[in-house]
Parts: sequence; C-alpha cells; structure tokens
Amino acid sequence: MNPFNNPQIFSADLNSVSDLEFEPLENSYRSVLYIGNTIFFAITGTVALSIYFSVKDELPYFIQVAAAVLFFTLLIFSFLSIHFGFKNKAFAVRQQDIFFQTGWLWKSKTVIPFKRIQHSEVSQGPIDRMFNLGKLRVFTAGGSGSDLTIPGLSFIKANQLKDFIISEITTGKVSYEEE
Amino acid sequence: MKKNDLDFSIPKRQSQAAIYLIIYNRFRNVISRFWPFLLIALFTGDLSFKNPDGFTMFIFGLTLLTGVFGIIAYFRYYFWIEGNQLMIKKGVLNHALTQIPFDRIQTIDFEQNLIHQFFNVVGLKIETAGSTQSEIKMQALQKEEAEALRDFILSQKVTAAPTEEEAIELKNQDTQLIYKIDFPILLKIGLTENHIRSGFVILFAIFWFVDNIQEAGYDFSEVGDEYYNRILGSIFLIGGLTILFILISMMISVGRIFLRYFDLRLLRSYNGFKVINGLFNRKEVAALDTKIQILSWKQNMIQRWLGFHDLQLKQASSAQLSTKKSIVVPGVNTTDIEKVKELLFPERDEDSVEYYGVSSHFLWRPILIMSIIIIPLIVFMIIQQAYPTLAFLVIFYIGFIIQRKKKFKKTYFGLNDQGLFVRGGVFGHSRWMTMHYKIQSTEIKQTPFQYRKDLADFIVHTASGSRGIPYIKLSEAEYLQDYLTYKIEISQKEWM
Repeated sequence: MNPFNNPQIFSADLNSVSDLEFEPLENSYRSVLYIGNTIFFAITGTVALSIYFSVKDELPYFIQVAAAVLFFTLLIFSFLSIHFGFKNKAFAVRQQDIFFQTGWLWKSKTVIPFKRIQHSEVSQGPIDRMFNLGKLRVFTAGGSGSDLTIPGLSFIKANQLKDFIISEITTGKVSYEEE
Repeated sequence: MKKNDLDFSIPKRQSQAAIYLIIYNRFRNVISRFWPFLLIALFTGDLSFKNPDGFTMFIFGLTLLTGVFGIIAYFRYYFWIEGNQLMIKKGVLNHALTQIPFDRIQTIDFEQNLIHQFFNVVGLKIETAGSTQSEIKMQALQKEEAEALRDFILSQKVTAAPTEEEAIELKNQDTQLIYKIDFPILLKIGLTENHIRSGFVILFAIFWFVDNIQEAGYDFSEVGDEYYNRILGSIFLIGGLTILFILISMMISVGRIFLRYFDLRLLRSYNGFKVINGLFNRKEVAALDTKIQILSWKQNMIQRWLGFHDLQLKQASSAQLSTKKSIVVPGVNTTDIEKVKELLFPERDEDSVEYYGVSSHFLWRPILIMSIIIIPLIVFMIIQQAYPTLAFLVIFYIGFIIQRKKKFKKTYFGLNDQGLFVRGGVFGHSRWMTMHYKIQSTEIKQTPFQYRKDLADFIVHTASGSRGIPYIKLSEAEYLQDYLTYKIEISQKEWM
C-alpha cells in the first residue's frame, strides 16, 4: 500500500452522521428499564422508610417533607426519562464504525471506528434474560469515557454484532481505497 | 500434567485453588471494610456468638453471601481460545462473554502471593490498551498452564506493540539535547507557582473574620476609637500574616522546584523523547513517539510576562504505563516548543489550520446561572447590612464575569487535514494538539439548553485523555465527528 496515497476529500462526500438512519433498541428493553427502576426504588424506598421511622421524632418537619419531595421527584424523573428517553436510545453500524446515541434531556452521540476497538463483550443481566436481551460493550484505549455500551439488543443480535466487529478488527484492515 | 490440560480450545475453569483465593479475598475485603466496627465490638465484648446483635449478623451474612457468590462465580468462569482470540465467559447473575483478539493484548502479567505459592498457582493479569476497568484478571491457574497460555498468545500475535524492551533500548540510544533548564528559569518557575489562589483564600478568611466580629457586637460605626483601632490593628495583622504566608509558600515552592527540576534535560533519540531531572533523586521518563498521543503547553499570566511555558507530552495511559506517566518539561520557550512539535508531529502543517471560536452562549450561560445564584445572595447581604461579605460576593461576582469573558475570548478550535488543535486559557494561554490518527473515538453532547439553541459540546477521546470543545454549533460538531471518524478510518498509521 502506498503510504503517500492521500487523495483530497471534499466535505460534501463524507457520509454524514446526521443522515444516518439509527436503529432503535428492542421494545422489550423498555420493560427491562421499568422493572430495574422499580426494583431500585423499592429497595431504596424500603431503606429510606426504615431510616425514617427510626429517626422521625428527631427530624424537623420541613426536612421530612423535603426528603419526601426529593425522593418522589427522583422517582418520577427516572420514570419519565425512561419513558421519553427510550426513543432516543439508538445505534447504527456502518462498514467501519459503530454509533450509539442516548439521553432524554442530556443527549450524547458517540462513534467508535472498528479500528480503535480493543475488545468487546456481550453481557446479560437477570432481567435481560427474562426478555432474551443482551448488552454489547466495546472497549477502546481511550479510557472508560470512550467505551461504548449498547443495551437492549436481542441476545442473538448482540452476539452477531460482536462477531462482526471482532472479525472486522482482526481480519479487516480495510481502507476506503481498497473498495 | 496431562496433555489435555494444555489444550486451550475447549472451555475450562481456573485451578481449584482459585476457590480458596476467592474466599480469602472476600473475607479480607469484608474485614478491611468493617475492621473498625469489629475492633470496637471485640473490645466492648459485644461480639458474642451466642447472642449476636443485628450488626454482627449483618456482617457475617454479608461475608457468607459474598463468599457463596464468589464460589458460584468460580464455577461459572470459563476461558478458552477460539481462532486468534481469548474468550472468557463468566457471571452469576450477570452473564458476560468477552472476546479479546490476541493482537490487542499488551501484556500478560503473573502474580504470586503466599497463597498462590502454597498451591503452586499464579494469578494472571491480561491488559489491553484500554482502561483498568477493561483488564482481565484470573485468580489462579496452574503455573505450567499459565505459562503455556502466555507463550501461545504471544506467539500468535501478528503485530507486536512497542514493548518494554524497546523502551529500555531507547534509554541507551544516542541522544541529542533539545532543552536544558538553567538557573534563572528554575527560580522563575518556583516564584510563579500559583500563589494567587492561597492569597484569595486568605482574603476570604479576612472578610469572614470581620463579618463575625460585627455579628459578635463590634459594629464599626458604634464602637469607640480604641476598639476601632484594635480591630484595624488585627486586620493589619492578618494582612501581614497573609503576605508572610505567601512569602513562605513561595520559598517552599522554590525549594521544591529546585529539588525536582534541577538540571532537567529533554533529550531526543531517533524514535522517542526522554527527560531526566532531579537534584538528589534523578528521575528519568522515556516515551516513544508512537506512545505519545497529545502535545500540550500552557502558561499562566505571570509565566506569560516572563515568557515561558510548561510543556507536556502525554503518553497512552494504559495501566502498564501509569507509573511512567507523561513527560513534563517546565520553563520552555516558543523555540523549544517548535523544536518538539517538529520532531513529534512533522506532518502537522500548522499554517493551514483554520481556527473557529465558540458560541457566545459559552460566555452568557454560566454568567446567567451564576447571577441567578449570587444576585439574591447580594440582595440578602444588603438587607442584612453584612457589608464585608457583600464586598466579597461582589468582588467574586465581578471576578467570575471577567474570568468567563477571558475564557470565552481565548477558546478556539482549529482543524486541518492532519490534526486537531484546541486553544484555551483564562489569564494565560493553553494549547493542545493531536493528530487525527491518534484519536480513539468522538462524542457529541448536548444539554437541554444546547439542544434548543442547536449547540453542542464536542469531545475527543485519545489514549491519554479526553478534550472537550464547548458550545459549538451542532452542525460544526457533526462535521467534526464525520471528518475525524473518516480520517481515523483511512489513516494507515497506527495510533501506538
């Protein structure tokens, strides 16, 4: 390969992220999130209540109210963000890279070229297992901030994606010129 | 040892000694977390096995539970080799299948503590270039097995990453001196360490002190001259102490800088840099060009007046490198920086870089948020007639606005077909640059406000840290993401 091969590229020719058609996560993942969130708040709620009953005589009234308001605000906000944020969770795979976008109010969109992936992993939590879902993680050398986690894929698809990525990074040192 | 034991193509578990190690580790974990309570319980005699209280039961329950989990985890942990990859399957509740291509494995380390030695096993640590979170640990493998696994993986690796040996080799190569620190610069560095912050803290303490005196009944308008003088005296005393403190802190930093940077030399070999420094304790850090991901330099206000910078060559920070860290060269001038730039990134072509500013919302949004917090406070202080605190708040508020304004004016990002360049700074300057092929991944982030205004933060992740470009147009961020991703994908150069 000629290392000095460096043809000019016009910006209009670049495949644009904004034109990318993102694929949604499995619908059942919404249920996973709801169930997970319910369990989380059930546990924290129980702990909070048991603490509350043991110290309520010593707490001023407004702190009790504030704590309750805080708890329910967090609870409502977390459910809302699952509800409205779900449709923003989506991924896209191109020939040479993988995208994931997420977030309801605070949004983010990350892209990792296959070339930069160090290794990858498919994992499945207990609730995922009930719905036959999996979670794909890819690791880069850029530290945890640049790692990508795509949850809510069907378990089969997660594994297919992982196999595809791994085959790309081990065999393919494909460049645009070769296509 | 049976031949079968060394066949890695079938999934297998770790050595059974791992169970003892797991139990030992879990037990040690619980103890190290709760030992103060245990100690108290032991001394007060609360720790009774016949009549356990809730807490003791809790700890024992926890130990038991984590121990059981650990043992189940052992039985669910399998590893094998498939093609050119190491596969690991694990998890009790959370199942995971990890795949690591041999090419991406950087190091395989063995560890052997007393328990390992007793069972003649070793712990295995497999590192990729990723974060510590992504490294693979195995509790215990038969020593022969571990060695066979390591040898097999290393023999199958197609591309070899720069190894420790190469870095050592670097140390013995012919080198050329690029920069040598001299005495006046050392002195300047020591004197220009950040003393302003400590001064500011003390200033706040004075305001707070005066305020509290007032609360305690010393109202400056009502007390007699004698008291007034006494308080004024104490203010002068504090002022004097402040100056004294700053002087002492300056002297200490001058001494520290002398010890640390004495006779600092930046040396160049044909494929790397090396810095040697220190008075009693000579320290040497070497970095191959391929491992250096980022070049950055900065100067604060005083350094700007005196005309020198702090230069940093940031290395890929995999766990294996964390002890060696980056090369830091203080006291360099622009000519030195140009020299380093030319050696490290000769392709950078800075003349063709176009710089772009960030949105004015980067200036106004934080000011607005700060105003919402601080203006009610100021009003409250006026009502309370707490003038010293008021003065402090006003100074702080004005300072904040000036700082944001300076920062906004100095924040720029630049791009050409080779690299990404970021400028920043408040009262001084900071510069940051990397080449496209060194970038790992990119990210666009939007707060709700930025979403409404079609703005975004753009974040670049490299193997030695991330850098954000705040408040640029969404279209610019998307263009950057497209372009940089494309540049990474077509580049023939390896990032390391």
